[in-house]
Amino acid sequence: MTISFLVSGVAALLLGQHQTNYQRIVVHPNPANGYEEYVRATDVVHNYKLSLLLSWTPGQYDDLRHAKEAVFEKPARGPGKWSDDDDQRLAYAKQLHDLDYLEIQKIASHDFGGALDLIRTGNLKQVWDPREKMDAETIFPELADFKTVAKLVKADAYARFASGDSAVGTKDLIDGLTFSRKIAGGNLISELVSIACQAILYGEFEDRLPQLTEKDSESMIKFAEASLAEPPTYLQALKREAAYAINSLDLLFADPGRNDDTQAGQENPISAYVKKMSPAEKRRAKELLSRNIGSYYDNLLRDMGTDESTWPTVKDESGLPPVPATITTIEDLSDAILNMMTPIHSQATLAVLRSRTQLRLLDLHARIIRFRWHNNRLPKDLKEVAPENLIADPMTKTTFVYELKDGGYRLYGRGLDSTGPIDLKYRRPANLPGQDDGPIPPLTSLSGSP
Amino acid sequence: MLLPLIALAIAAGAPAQQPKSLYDQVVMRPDPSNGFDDYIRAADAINDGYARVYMTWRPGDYDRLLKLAGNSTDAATTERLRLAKELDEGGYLGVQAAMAKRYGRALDLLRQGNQKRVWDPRSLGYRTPLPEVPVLYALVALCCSAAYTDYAKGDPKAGTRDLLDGLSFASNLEPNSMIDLEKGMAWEPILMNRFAGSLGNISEADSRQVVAFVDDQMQRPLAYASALKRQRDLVVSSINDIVTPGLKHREYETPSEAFTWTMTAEQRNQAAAAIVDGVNRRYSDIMQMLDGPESTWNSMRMEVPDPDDPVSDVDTFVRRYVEGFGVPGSMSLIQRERTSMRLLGLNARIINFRWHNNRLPNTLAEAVPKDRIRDPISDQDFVYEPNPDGTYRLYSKGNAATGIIELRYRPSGSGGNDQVPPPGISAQARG
Repeated sequence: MTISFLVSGVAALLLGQHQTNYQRIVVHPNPANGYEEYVRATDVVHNYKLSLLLSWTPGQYDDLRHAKEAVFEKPARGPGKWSDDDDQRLAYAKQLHDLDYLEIQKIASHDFGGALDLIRTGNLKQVWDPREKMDAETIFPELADFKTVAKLVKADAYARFASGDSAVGTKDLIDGLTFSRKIAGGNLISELVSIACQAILYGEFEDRLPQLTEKDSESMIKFAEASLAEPPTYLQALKREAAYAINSLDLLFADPGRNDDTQAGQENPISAYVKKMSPAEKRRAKELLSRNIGSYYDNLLRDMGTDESTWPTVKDESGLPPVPATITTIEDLSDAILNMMTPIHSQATLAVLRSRTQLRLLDLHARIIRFRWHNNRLPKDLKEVAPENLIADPMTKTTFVYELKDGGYRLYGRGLDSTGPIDLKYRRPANLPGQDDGPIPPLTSLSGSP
Repeated sequence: MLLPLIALAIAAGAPAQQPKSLYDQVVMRPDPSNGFDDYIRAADAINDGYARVYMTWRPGDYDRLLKLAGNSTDAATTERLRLAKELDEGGYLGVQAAMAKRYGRALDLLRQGNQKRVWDPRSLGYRTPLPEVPVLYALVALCCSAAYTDYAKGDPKAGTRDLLDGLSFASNLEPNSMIDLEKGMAWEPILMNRFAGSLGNISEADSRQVVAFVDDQMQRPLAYASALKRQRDLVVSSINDIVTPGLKHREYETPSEAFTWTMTAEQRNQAAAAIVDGVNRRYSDIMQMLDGPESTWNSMRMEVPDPDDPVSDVDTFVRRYVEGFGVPGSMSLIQRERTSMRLLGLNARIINFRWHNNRLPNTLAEAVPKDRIRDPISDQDFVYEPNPDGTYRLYSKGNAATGIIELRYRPSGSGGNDQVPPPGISAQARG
């Protein structure tokens, strides 16, 4: 695999093509770092064919065909230009047209399974983001592809379960979850991408519950127990977020207004103030901001503590100075920038808590399944399958809900007002405000978004 | 050490002390092409006196047995106690696995028999002993135990094969005689219940295997017709046994058997002729009914006469035999069995559809060929109700005699049974 990557890397350079994620991210290769395999996996999955396979629907080809017709037959009303790449996509979609969902999953698994091998190799190593410094100019091209990797894991697991090999299917999903959890902690974005990847795999686990065997349940319990014993990566991500923000100050002061919306015709008051500052003032302001950012995150981490049941009570605005009406002093500037740079933590915190709830639910589902195989009946209550500490739901400070109904059961966390009930597959209640599919950007105006 | 072992071996080999095997009792002329021989060997393999301990196990058996045993120290009791303790420690799954392991040879023989044609090698007479009958049920229980174990350990292919082996075994025996038919019909719901509890474990490949199995079963000649013909032949060939009393009074005699002692020779001749004639007519009527649509199979009055009703004259004696002819419980049992088999096939097609499309079919027509949607028993379509939670319910409306029929057998009036659906699944199946 390494040789093929080297060959493809050289070929890309010779042809003057875009760099691979691996080339962009891994400057000093380190065979001990599993992140490198993960990034290599993203280069495998960054492929239009896989994109079509993973988004396949029975109507995919017709939709693309109609889109092309719209461009060529009614150019005035068409959605845009039609490229050679689009033609390539259309041709591949035509090949997939007469297949069904299972066949599509099998093709994805067969043609892109190399990515999963890389994930498994990476899982066996220590994993850390190899970037030496992260600031507002840092891009994270691998993160979007990490979600594709999670979807590929799901496809492979589906094909395995369909063929009756639940042990490999379960291992797939656990490998996928291991990968998803290991990519977290680098910063807030990677934390949120990790959560998104985990959500994809928890959802697949819920769909596969009926197929899980006694042996599968043992593997799941082992995984969940080990994962729950690890400290949450979220706190580490917040610490790194502070460093990320401080690193980004240089850019802000070196090139004020670089991200201003010039079309609006109104200058950003922060940029306007910074442009007028002397180098000495800028140095002073940076020092002040560094202290304030550090202090803000220190306070945030102190307020949150290690007990996750207290996390929902920590509000975004706590620890933040008021937003100044105008910027006339360096202190005003610091307050304004701090408010601007600080991500909306409460949403991220909820996402983290929801994901940890799902991990606990996975553990309990596995225990229920194991119990059922051992006793040929469902447990009457959760106490029959798990100790008190595993039945407790820290997010709500209550216990998980287990309901026997119609010969089956439902297991869920009560959640909070802002999440609604949380099942293994999270279904956002329709009455809650919408949520972006992608991660929340940490630096709302300064960052080069991934 | 050697001497006592030899002594034991000699003792074990001594004909006077060794009970005759079922095989020796039943198979007079071995025929390697007859699967029935293998079935009887399988029955011998499981007939070691302990299968029942596994089959009837409930948690806490050891304590209960300990109380019952009192101070008894005989070898059999000691072994039962040891076994009960072992089973209690293993729990339900441990018991199923232990049974499947202990009687693996019996399962192999059953499978071997399934590969062959099966017929009862005996020329059955009115008083032919059937010593294998109480033992064969254990083989069905063994198939269920093996399936449970295989599904639990993640080998759904083997689990599905175990259950299909059980169904093959039951259906291969059914055409042999009315007794075998009744046994088969009693065993089939046990296997179907296990299937209903395992639908969630069935893979795409397994679903195809089940569909092929059901298609094959439904194409076979009706087992009842074959068993009926054999019963008629049996009545005709054994008519003298029927009208003639045994050599001595038995401890328990039905009123009909008791009446034979009171009949004159002339009355016996009269009764024999009337029974043969009545049975032949009734046979023709039933066969004619079976030629019609399945929905009309309840058109004949077929009730099991109460064997304890008094018999005081020749007419009643004759009527008892003629009315009891061809009644395996009731016609509705045959309809129920055939419908269960069809439902198994439909469930497998729905599961297959779901694997291929990652969703349940919206209608049965999406997953099932047109000619399989119609339910011959109710003369209406099978009912398929998908639920938003990914479960579905599939059933036949049945008829007045059968009531609603589902894959999971629910005796009328009961709230269900002890089979548990797969985790996360409601009472309905989840494909």
